[in-house]
Amino acid sequence: MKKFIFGLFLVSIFLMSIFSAVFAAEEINVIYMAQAAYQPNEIRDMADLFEELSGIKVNLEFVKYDEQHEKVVASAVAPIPTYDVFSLDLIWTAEFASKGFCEELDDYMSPMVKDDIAPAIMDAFVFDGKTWAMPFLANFQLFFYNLDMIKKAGFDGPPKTLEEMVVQMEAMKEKGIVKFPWTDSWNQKEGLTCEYVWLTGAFGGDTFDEMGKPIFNTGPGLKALEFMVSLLDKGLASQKSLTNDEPAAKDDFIAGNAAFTSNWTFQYGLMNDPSVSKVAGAGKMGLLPVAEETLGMYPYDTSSVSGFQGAAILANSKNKDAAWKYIRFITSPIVQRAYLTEMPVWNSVQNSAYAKTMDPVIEVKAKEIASVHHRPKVPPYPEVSSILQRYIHMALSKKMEPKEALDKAKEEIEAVMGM
Amino acid sequence: MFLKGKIRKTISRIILYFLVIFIILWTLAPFTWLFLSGIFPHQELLSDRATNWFPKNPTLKNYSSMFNMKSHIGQRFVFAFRNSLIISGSVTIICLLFGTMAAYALARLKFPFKNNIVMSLISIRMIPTVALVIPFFVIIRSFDYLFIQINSQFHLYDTKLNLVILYVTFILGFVIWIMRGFFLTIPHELEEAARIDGCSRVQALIKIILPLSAPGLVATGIFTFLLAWDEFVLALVFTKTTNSITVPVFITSLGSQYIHAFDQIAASGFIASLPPIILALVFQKFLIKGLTAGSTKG
Amino acid sequence: MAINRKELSSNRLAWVMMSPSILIILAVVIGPLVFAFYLSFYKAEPVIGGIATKFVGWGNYIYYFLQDPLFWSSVRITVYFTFISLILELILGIGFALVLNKSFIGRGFVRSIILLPWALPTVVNARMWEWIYAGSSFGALNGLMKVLRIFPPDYDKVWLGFEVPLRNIPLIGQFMEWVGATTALNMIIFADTWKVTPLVTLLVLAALQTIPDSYYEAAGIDGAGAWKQFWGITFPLLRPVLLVVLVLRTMELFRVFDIIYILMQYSIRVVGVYTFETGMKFLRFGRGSALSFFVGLFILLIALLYVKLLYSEETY
Repeated sequence: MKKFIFGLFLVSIFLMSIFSAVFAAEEINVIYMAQAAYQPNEIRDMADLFEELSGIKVNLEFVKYDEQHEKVVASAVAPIPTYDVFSLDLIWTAEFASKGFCEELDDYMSPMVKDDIAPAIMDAFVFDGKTWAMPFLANFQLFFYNLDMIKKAGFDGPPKTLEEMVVQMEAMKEKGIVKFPWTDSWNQKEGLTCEYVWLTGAFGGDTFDEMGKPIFNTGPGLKALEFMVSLLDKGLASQKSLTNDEPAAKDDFIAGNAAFTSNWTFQYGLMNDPSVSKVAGAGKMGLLPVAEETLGMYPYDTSSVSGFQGAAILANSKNKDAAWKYIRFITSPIVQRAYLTEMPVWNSVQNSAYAKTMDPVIEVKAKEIASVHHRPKVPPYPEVSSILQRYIHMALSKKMEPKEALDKAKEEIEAVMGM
Repeated sequence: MFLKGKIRKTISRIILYFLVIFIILWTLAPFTWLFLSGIFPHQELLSDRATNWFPKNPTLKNYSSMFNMKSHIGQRFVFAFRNSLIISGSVTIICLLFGTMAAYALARLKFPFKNNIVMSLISIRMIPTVALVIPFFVIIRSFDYLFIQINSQFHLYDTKLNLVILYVTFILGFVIWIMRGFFLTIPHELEEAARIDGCSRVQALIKIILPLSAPGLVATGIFTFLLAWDEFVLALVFTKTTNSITVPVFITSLGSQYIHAFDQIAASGFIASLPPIILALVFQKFLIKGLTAGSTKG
Repeated sequence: MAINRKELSSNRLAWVMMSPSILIILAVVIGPLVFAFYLSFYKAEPVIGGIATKFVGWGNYIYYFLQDPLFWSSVRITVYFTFISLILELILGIGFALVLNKSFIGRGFVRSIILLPWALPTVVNARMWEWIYAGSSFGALNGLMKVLRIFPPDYDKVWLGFEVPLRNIPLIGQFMEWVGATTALNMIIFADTWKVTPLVTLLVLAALQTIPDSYYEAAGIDGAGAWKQFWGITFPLLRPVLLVVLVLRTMELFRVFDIIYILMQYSIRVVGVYTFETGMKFLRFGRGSALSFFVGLFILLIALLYVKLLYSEETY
């Protein structure tokens, strides 16, 4: 009898292990924005290793930034999810969290994880007191300047304030060194809101207050827009900026058609690549200047805007644990050390000797990332941003005065937010 | 007097040839530029156009990489190309089959509400496709949910079948409308003669009417193929993997947010335009005859 | 040999022949259409696993008709796009057809290649023109202007830019501003026209073939010049075809989305783009549906107008 029971026991274990092996062939679907940062083949490498180690099959899909939002929404609305993991732009945190699209991640994250990430970065993905995505990519804007042109214009080094920059630009234009010293991505897309946010920060404020109410039509917000318009008026920025997206602005700079620009981290590599860049060696990266009146307000006298991406789990996913394992893997410090072209989100990696050796400019980046301003964290963000873009662009195209444009934008935004 | 007439004639001939050359340039210039852009190596892409119309180091790499099954791009392109061919082909066959039958009924047979049906068929095309995207998506995903509940492997999202169904629905009304026009131009007498000889209506349709409207069929077929080959919005929303992506979706996905890959876009774009062009060139004789006969009778 | 084969009555046969088509259309489109129509009376938003709705009755429609700042400017710019495109397509199409109707060396060749632009997929067309219109020195159009010495060597025009064209000309400039026209939109009109003109050319050419030469000879003997011949003979006989072109093209142009979205994303808000933005980006499904039905209604009215004109021409 004992033998029989024991035999039965063994057989059941055997069957159960086969059973679970069958079920262990889990699968997750990942949708990733092929934008800055990791290129598709790098993501694929990570996924291949993860598959090998965990036995969980990973299906990857890459889309452009513009399409990611729509695809995630479509997946969330349907009864069965199309995706389990998706890369989340921080500006969607409030929107998705308030609609319940993302899974809350606080329970998955260990205290060690939470301690090793700077509050500024973690905070981008917090809404209503809960964390909705795991920080994945720390993208932010930096200052790029052409040192050769600066020297030719008779100056020693990059400007520390916006006013100083204007002086340098006017000298360059006068001496015929470059026709339009300033270039940027001011076309009517999300990039315009980003530019506006760091400039508002440079004048000492934010676009929305802590309560989530719009305050951009007075003070720093107004000064920022007036500054942008003045650059166009003085001929320091070309009309082309109004149609530039970030790659186009980068192209302007690396073709030698501009002396100053603000852009995301991706420009650094391309700027120094002699096969595509005409300014390799002359182009440098530094901290974005602030207005004179703002000096001393911030620890590093600089302002930037955050473009962080997180990895999130769709709330209607059936494979949440597998999804979290994948996320924990691709965001881990070990992986981030291997790809130091991207700014690591972990303090331990940022401060490591290894990182400092591999990326000599990491200290500049660390200062800049500590000075980022976020875009407004409100649920109807896509609409709010669209309204801002429209009116800012109208002011830049001289169809409206800055003050009037911002006032009208505030009105429409308040209507949308139900105030 | 005589000389004046001759001079006038010569001048008008010169103007004519001038216009002909204009038409040729107008039509071919952008195409040639498209092809040339495809043979630029990536580094030379951003060179000054005033002096660089032709690359210093032309390369066929962009074109060949589209078919290189070992590279990711090559894989996706070949699959997208295949999918598009299958989808467009199926849509064309189905639409011609069902559409012709319905068009015949509307052109020849008597029954109530005929005109209303015709109007409703074309009205389908008046709603912007974007409007129906979310309802479609929710409905299709709900179906898939049902399929999974009853343990079926079958699903609709991310399949070619899904796109075929959607495209047929949108294009069918159009096909019916045009084919009906063709049928209306064919004199009743021919059919009457056949029926007196003992043919049924259906036989008359197959033996007499169809051959006569062959140009119309060809024209409508090409038009349908083009509409399906071209379609972008629905494909974008309903495709995911190489199982179902179509060429327009592939081309839109080229490059990244930070790199404008015009060389790749040009190469794949040029190749993508070949099937419709080949079809159009092969059938262009029929095309002219076909389009006009159908249209003048609305 | 009499007609004594048993066959279905006219009615029955008709329904048998039409049923596959009607079934497909009903099954696939009617469901979503009705659902979308239903949604248009609600404030509808996506939530996880479904859509949350709140009844607002005619609220959405009223909003667009009376309150929304963007709706009417969107309609204006769409009408501008449609109207100008139509004019260009007609002028070029008829012009090309007239040329192709004459005999000259290489006519067969030209007639074959005339179709090429039409066969190019819209996505490819959009990207190609984006590349041609690039506002830097690597843009083909800028290069061409420099080669033709129209532009100085260091001037690059931003073709897809937002300046109001012709703004200095008194009435026209104001009209352009009111309608919301920009240089970018005009260049896109050109790009779209380039692709579509072959269709018009072919239709007109085929119609021209049916006009007997004897008409023109007779007119020539009577002393009528080319211009008079065109307006007196050609144009009247082309009217049926032209009306068909008008219907077809107006419907497609009013719904335009692909080329504008690919080139300009949301910055040129024609109704197709505006609907997409409202529904898919702002996730206002109710409003998006209402907007679409509004647009559908517009197109239906225009189509009915055309059909009335078309059927009255049936006498030709």
